[in-house]
Amino acid sequence: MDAFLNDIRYAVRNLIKRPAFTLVAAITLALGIGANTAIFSSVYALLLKPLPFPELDRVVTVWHSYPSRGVTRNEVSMANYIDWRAQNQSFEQLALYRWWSVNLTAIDPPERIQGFLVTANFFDVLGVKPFMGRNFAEDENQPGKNVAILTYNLWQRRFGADPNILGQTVTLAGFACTVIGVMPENFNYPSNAEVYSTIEITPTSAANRQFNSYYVVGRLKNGASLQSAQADIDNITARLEQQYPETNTGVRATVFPIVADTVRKYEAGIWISMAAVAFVLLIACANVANLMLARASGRQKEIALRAALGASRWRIIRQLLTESSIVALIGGALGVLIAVWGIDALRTANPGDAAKFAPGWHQLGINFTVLIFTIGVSLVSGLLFGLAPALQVSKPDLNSALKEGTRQSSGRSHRLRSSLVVLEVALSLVLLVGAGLFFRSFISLFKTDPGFNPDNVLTMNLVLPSTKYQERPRIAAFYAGLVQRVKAQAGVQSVAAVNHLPLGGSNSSDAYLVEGAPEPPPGKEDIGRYRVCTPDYFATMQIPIVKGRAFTEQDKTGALPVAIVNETFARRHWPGQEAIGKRIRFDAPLDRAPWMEVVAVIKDVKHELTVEVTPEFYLPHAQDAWRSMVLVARTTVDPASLAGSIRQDVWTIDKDQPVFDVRTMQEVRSMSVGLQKFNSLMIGIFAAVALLLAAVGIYGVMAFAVTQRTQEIGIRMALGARAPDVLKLVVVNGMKLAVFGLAIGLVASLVLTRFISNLLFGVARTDPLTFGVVSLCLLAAAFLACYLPARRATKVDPLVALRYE
Amino acid sequence: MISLRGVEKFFPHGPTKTYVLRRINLDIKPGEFVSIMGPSGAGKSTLLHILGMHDHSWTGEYYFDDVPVHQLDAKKRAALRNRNIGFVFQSYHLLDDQTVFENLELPLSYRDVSKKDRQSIVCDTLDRFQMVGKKDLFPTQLSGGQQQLVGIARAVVASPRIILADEPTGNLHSAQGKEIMDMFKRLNDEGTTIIQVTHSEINAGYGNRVVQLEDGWIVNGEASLASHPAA
Repeated sequence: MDAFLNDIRYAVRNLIKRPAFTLVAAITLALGIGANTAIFSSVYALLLKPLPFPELDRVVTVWHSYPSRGVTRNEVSMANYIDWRAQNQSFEQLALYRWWSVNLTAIDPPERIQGFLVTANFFDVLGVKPFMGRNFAEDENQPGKNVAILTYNLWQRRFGADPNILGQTVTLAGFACTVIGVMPENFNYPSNAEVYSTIEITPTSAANRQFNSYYVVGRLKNGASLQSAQADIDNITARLEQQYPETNTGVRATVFPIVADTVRKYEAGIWISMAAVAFVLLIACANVANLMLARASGRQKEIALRAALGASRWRIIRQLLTESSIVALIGGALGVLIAVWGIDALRTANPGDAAKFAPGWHQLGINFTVLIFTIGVSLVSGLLFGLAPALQVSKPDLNSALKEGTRQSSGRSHRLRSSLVVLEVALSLVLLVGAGLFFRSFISLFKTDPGFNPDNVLTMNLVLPSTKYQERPRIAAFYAGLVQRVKAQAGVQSVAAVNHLPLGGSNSSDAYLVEGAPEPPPGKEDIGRYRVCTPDYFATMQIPIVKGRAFTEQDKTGALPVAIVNETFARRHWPGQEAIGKRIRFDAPLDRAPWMEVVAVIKDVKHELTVEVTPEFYLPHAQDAWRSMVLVARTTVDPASLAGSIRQDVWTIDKDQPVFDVRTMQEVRSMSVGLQKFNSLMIGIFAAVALLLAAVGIYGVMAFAVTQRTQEIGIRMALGARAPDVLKLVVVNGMKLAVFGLAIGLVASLVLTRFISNLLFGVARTDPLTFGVVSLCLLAAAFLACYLPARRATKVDPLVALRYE
Repeated sequence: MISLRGVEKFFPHGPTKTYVLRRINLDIKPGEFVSIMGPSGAGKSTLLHILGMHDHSWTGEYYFDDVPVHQLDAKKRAALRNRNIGFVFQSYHLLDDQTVFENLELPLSYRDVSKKDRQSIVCDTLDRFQMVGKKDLFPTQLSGGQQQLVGIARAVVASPRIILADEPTGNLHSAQGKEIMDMFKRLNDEGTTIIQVTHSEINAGYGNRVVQLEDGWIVNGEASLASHPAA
């Protein structure tokens, strides 16, 4: 213990004596450790502990799946859920919930909030109790109960944390609901939830196997595994398929751990960032190891003296490792500061609106686990960068090291330093290639023609409450009236409404039939996306009509049902034929789903930039009046400037009608690639840091080599070497290392990019342009890093150099 | 061939100057074998490096073949040096990571001699110095005398008109030293001008003129004794 304390004391004294070395090493490490800490904090908050539920490994989600169609996750019907619940052996509880985007009214201002309708056992499954009030009771799934549980956030935000909120009524979707509880502060599931109410289970809904709009969460019984639960569910779905062939043919179910299921959309991006920062830290360690080696060569005499005085090799190694550990811990402490800043930046960036959709986002920060990680990473780094130099210098040649004037480092040391630089270059290249591919992917995504013109379009969402707008004509009349009113505004060129905005993230799909085509067997129906819009939608979005006509005011209830299809739809079903005049209908009883005549074919529209266009059809809103619509207005002025007056138009028609998510179409488009943009930005930043560190590493090695070779350079100059000869000598030596590292990095990149190929769009993972450009960048940086010491080498005065004699 | 007029070198120490060389006037004719002698610190090596155009921070006039060296920029000075001067060092200064052949090739590569010509010149030189069998050895595999022979071979490989040698036998025992001095004598006999710095009277005896330095002053041998050894 005493020896250990002595080691620490001596190490601290030594580091204080060389403040420049200590500072440079600590800052280099801080960059690497800080980045690791920041990203690990997001791994911890978003991937490892996103959901604050007890016994989290027992909580699962269950989805419908259609193996024959390659669909692994689809919403569930209530009747199937009820059967699963009744027949399973593996679950303690199974709960059902569905989205409930709802207007909060009778409070100023009215607001659109995100709610969920749940079965009474929903919170029991999750293992969370209200922090105030009570949970839903079993009989509250009966119709007409109208009870609500608020999230802590909504209670704070809209009700001023009123301690007497329990028992009060709030108006949700036009219904007066009694508040029976408030959830705890950190409870945010499903993401972005603000209020919960109960699903009404009626005999009709309980028998419905076709309305797939529900999500299922379950808690496994103690001792039940994911596999046993899956086998259990497989048996039940097979039975249901036999029992209900009409609706359940091909319908299976898949059980997922809730965490993996929740984080699946952004998990890969975070792990890739983690890998990237690990690379940055390795590069930082290589740099510091190089610094240590350079410094060690100046300490050979001291080490030799210690050895001559009887210090064992292990004792010397321990002393040196104590020093490197202290440097690493200083780097770690500075790294935490960098991480705090980084996490703040991450919060501000809020990629892909993660604050709304990523559970655990609000827990992002430095906590005990993150600190333990940082200390661990620091100590491992200390070992990584300290071990090689320690092993190297702990075996001094006493005879030569103790001679006066000896100042040479060994060839082994030089080889090790060169190898470290090669490693740095290789790692940097891998990161640069990754960054390059993500950047190209993002650009390609952004440049993708979505099939409409997103410039100068303002969008805003409205959901009419079912209590007030029950009849379809009334709904249709509201939107028709709103469109007319907005159209009359100065600065508005064209206006329409659509149920799902392109690139907005939501879509509707359903099975359909084509007249004249053989009826598909159950489970093999054609599934198509469909949208509902008002007449001027295609003109407003500037979606070209290839053939036929747009919807008109005459396409209303009672008139001939019509539809417009996209080119992919027409090509799929009527290749080489005239699509106009053909008929399609939803796959439902004929009295509810009449044939619709195709009146136009439009150009394909990309509703998700990363997904191939599928068959799609549009229906006139007057014939299928949705309550939830998005108003789109093409303007001749800055679209954002009209937001206020258009909102006013809505309130002129209905003063209680909330308007939400008011955005320009360019903002919507930008948000749709937000995650890709963020991924590319993150990897780009890490790659830039890596490049900088690698360049500093090359510079350090070459500068050290120049110092070591002063005499040699002097001799060469005495023998006639001119400045360009010396410049070439140093640069070629450095560039050899860079090229060697580059070659290794290229091979490693070819292997490692396999892991990101799924996240790329419009660019091959072996894209020669990306590989070429980043290689050139790296070589340019390496050249600069060699050139500076080389310039210094040309200034060597042979006279001075030869005086070493 | 070489003419120094009023050459002085000093190091400023605050308001005062410490002189290393004072008012040096020296003429050296082609074919001479000059030995610069004097006690340690007299300025012998400094004078040699001024003659070799390594050192350019001095005052006075230096004419090489009537070319005013003191007026030349660094590039022209280097070109003049590369054309005319070869160096032999006390510590040989061979590059340890290069073979004997590569060490000899080095000065030629700095004079833009083509690879083919380089090889033939180096082979001739190795032959002349009877070192063909050692061409692939590294300097550390040679004795001190052999290393200095390589040093001399490297100095002459580019056919300089003058060889400057700074205590060429300083690190060698007497037998090896004699061998080296015999080599210098032979080169001088073939017409190469030799200027050596030496402490050894015996080595000075190989030459035909001694320049004696003391405290930076030439105290003897300023003027040329002969225009040619044959004279």
